Amino acid sequence: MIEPLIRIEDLHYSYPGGDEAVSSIDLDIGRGEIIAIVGQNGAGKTTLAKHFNGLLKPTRGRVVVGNVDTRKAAVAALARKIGYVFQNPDHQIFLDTVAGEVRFGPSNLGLSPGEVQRRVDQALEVVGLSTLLGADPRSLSKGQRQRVALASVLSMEPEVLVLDEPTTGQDYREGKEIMDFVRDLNRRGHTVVFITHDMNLVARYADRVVVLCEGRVLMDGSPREVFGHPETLAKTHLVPPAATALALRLRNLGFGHVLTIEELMGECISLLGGDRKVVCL
Amino acid sequence: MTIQISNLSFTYPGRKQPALKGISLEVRKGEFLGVTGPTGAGKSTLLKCANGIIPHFQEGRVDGEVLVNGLPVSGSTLAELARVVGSVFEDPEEQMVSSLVEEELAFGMENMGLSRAEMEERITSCLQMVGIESLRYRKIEALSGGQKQLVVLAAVMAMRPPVLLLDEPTSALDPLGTERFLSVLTRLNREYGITIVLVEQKMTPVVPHLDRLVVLDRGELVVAGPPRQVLADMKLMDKVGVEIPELALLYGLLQERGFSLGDLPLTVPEAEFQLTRLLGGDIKKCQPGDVGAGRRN
Amino acid sequence: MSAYNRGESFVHRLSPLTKMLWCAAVLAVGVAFNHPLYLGAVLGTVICVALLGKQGRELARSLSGLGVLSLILFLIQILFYHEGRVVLALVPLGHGYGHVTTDGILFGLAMVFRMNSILLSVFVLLATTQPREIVLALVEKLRVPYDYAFMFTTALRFIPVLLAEARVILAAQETRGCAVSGHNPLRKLKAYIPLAVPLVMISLNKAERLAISLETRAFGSGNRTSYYECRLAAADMLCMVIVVGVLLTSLTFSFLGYGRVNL
Repeated sequence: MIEPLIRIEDLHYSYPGGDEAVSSIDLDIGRGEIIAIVGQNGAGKTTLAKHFNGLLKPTRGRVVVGNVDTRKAAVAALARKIGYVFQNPDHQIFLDTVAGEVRFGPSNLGLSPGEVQRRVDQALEVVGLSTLLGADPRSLSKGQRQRVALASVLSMEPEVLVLDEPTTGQDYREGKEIMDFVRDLNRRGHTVVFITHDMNLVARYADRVVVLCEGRVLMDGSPREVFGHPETLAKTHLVPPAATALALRLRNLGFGHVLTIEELMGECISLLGGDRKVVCL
Repeated sequence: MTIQISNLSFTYPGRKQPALKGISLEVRKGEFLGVTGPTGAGKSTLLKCANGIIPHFQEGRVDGEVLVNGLPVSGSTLAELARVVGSVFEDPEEQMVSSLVEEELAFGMENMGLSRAEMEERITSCLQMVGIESLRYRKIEALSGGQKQLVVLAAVMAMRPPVLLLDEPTSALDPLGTERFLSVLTRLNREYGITIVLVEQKMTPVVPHLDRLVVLDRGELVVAGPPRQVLADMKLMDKVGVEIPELALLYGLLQERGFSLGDLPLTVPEAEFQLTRLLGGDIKKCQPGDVGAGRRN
Repeated sequence: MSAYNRGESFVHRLSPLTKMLWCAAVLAVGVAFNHPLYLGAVLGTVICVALLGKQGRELARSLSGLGVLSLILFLIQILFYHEGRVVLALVPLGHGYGHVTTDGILFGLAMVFRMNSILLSVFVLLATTQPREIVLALVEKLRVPYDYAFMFTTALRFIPVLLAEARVILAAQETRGCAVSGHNPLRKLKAYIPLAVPLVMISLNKAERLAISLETRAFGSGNRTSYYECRLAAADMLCMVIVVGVLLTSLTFSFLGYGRVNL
């Protein structure tokens, strides 16, 4: 039995003076997984994610990262293991060069200057910003600033990357680029957790999805499993991706479960007998 | 024409490249127009040229002319324009000044110098228009993001503008909030005849509501037309960097293989109907939904 | 709005004008007297009004902050006030400084009571009055230009918004290993740059976007009307008469030498 990287046991959290934001959450995050956390606004996604790196400490239950209980560790210490990329890069950017920003994180870790430089160069290369290292982050587009934020977390070389809505506020291409980088990082061994509203993102990038509803885990499984239950998803006001929803409606015609339009196409073609018939309507 | 944009160019101060290059566009009365394009295409800039922020608040070099409801934008004051065009932006927190919903609705009208009786009447009717009568006496901080954005909408409508400009109003909302907001917009458009120009990145939930879709790229108008027509040119969408909704992609993929769905589907019920027809299934068995949603263009 | 506490009490129902008059009176009386006993009485009445406004719990909570401030103020006074009979000779700093004197103690107490009275009266005003009521009273009755009153309440309204942003920024920088907790003061100061810069940028951006939104809603376009009215009820008139009465009486007493100590 491989030890999970992050273990969450009976997690409960209430904001001061408020109701329970998350209740009775049990979750194991294994090495190399790429997990999406979904749910409507207020379901507890960000609250849950902030427990991974100790930004929030459980009011009941515990979160164990590696073999460290987050209640006993400072955020700055856990930052070596868990990188958290916030939704708005402007909450992090404060220096006037991209390189400076990316250098900030590892320089807080007490590493040798040579090691810091190596990490900076590598992080910039991974996100494709090596040519912009002298640029003022504030002059870049939102998508580029998001990449700077990602690089500045990557340069700390954490094992786990948590991304809070990485594509919100980005245009289509920028969003796709970020997610492609993230998938690449996952293939290189990083464990990734991302919060999103976009079910297409889940279908295309996640190998596991955790659905939250009113602070509790409603479903936890592969996207294919989870999207096969639209009635349950509807409880947290989520709808499966168009391809999945369409295939479900066409079950009586012989469609199987699909996740993406490409898969749906595959089903169509096989049902159409595979010939190049032009059907005029 | 409710909005007439003639050969509009705009350059932000200190920049070499213009943000808008020779844009010409006409928006009909009662039209629901969508504007999209990648980052830096000039979408927000275009809206600012139509609501008077450019040139009255934002400096820069303006060439060409914008007329809204007959009023020339550069020749009218922001106060005059406020009666004609309402603007809703992305973050509700950065648009509200009050702690109570009712107070927020009154704000714009107070600025306009309306009488108390007039304000009372408009508060009631705008809450009804937007469908949030139950929120009248609530504190704004207790509302959800979607509700806050609806309050902003009602507050803007209280000034009774015939034109509404929205800059990515659903950016921060979850799918449910987005859907609710868009259906309120459609209602304002169809039942009250408000001309709407909506800038958005996400195409999938938005396109079924549009009469026309305009695509901008690097300050230029690339294409304008009914959404089904615009999205059908997928090579162009891909080149510009506009999101192609999944169902449109299906249409394109089938077309490549020689199959035709008929019309480009914009909603799942539409696609269900068309696929069933294509596969020779029983179309009467299709599940009810907004079949035929999205303007028939 | 962070300072306003919703509630139903006699004080809540009073017009903001009445409460503002009361604050001004507390200030005037606080300055008129300088004997700690009289000032203590003033503080006592302020606390009574706070309790009448059901602000007891909030009062207790702000006491810790005020308490520290009061202590510092008191210590400064007794260490540097050197007139009068010496009670305790602490650090001999020369020229009589560092000696605790009776007059010093009296003066210190007087300062503490005065400061707390004034601050608490303003606190009660803000806690029992909605910001728009304050703006309304300022603009309609006191002829303050709307723009200034608006600036005041908008600034108040944005305090919790900016505090929330600051918290996110803090969290964001902490996750990059920036240790903000810790005891090294120099380190703490350095750590404020990654907090301050984003906060300033974000605040400026918010301000600009708010300004744009306001402009599109005809802000500042001329004659402004108001949906709400600023009404004065019988209770308000009565309270105002009482407050003015007490104020005039106190000023008279003060003029006649009562409650004033030659310090």
